[in-house]
Amino acid sequence: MLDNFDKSKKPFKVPENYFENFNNRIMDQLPSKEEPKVKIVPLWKKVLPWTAAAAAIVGVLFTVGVFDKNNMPSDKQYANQKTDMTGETIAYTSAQDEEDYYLFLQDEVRKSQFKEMLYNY
Amino acid sequence: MSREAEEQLIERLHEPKTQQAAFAELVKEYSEPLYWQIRKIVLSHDDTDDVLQNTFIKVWTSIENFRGDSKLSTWLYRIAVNEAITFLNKQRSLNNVSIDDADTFLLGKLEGDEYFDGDEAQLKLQKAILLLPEKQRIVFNMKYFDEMKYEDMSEILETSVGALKASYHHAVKKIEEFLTTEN
Repeated sequence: MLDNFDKSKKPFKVPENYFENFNNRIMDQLPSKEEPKVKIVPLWKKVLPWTAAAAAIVGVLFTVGVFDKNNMPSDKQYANQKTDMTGETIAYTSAQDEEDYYLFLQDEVRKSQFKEMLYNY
Repeated sequence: MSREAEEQLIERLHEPKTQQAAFAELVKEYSEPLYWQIRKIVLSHDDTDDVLQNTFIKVWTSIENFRGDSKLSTWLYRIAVNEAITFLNKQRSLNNVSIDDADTFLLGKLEGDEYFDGDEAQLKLQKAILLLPEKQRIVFNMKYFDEMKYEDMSEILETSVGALKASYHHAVKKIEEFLTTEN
């Protein structure tokens, strides 16, 4: 039955000069092809991860109490600790301590003078 | 277009300086065959015009991706058919038509199209074609009206030759049955 159809008859039509007009029209409608733009990352976006990391670290330090004043050693404790470490430095926290320190120095000077005399003669 | 001319055209399409002029040549060469391919799928002239524009815009924006693995014409036909199918899917959605139902809503468009002047028999044939599933309809149009080779159809539709032959055979059978009962 399909063989009886006259395929040379074209029922579909187009407006006059359609293809010529279409070809010009489509060339005017083409989107421009721009070079791919270099992506500019704002400064705050670059700094943000580091800031966040620093804030997190500070947060952790606060949580474990590093900055807690109650946990900080007092000046006296600190001075004693320092004396213990060197064995030579004397901490002084009062007038009495200061006097002791001078006596100690005099003693040291005397010892060194005695050694000098001993080795020279 | 010869293979050599096609290769030269592709080369110029990939070169930014010659791209625009080469594309104008491509449009001039292929706008008419692609138009008829689309027209047989969407039927009305105005819809075909829209789909053809979309097709060439897509070709323009993706021409850098064409590496010549298939013939240029095959690639163009494939884009045109895909664009036509995308258009029909949108139309079905607008008309609340399932993909499994016949696209008879297109018949109304065809009858109201001032650029269709087919007689009663031709309108009946179009109606019979519209009752076919989408893929069968495309295969039937390519084979029956355009007398395209199965090998070329296979590349465009990315379907095996065997499946296309079977599809065409079923399409012809259904159309003849419809025409017999309608008479």
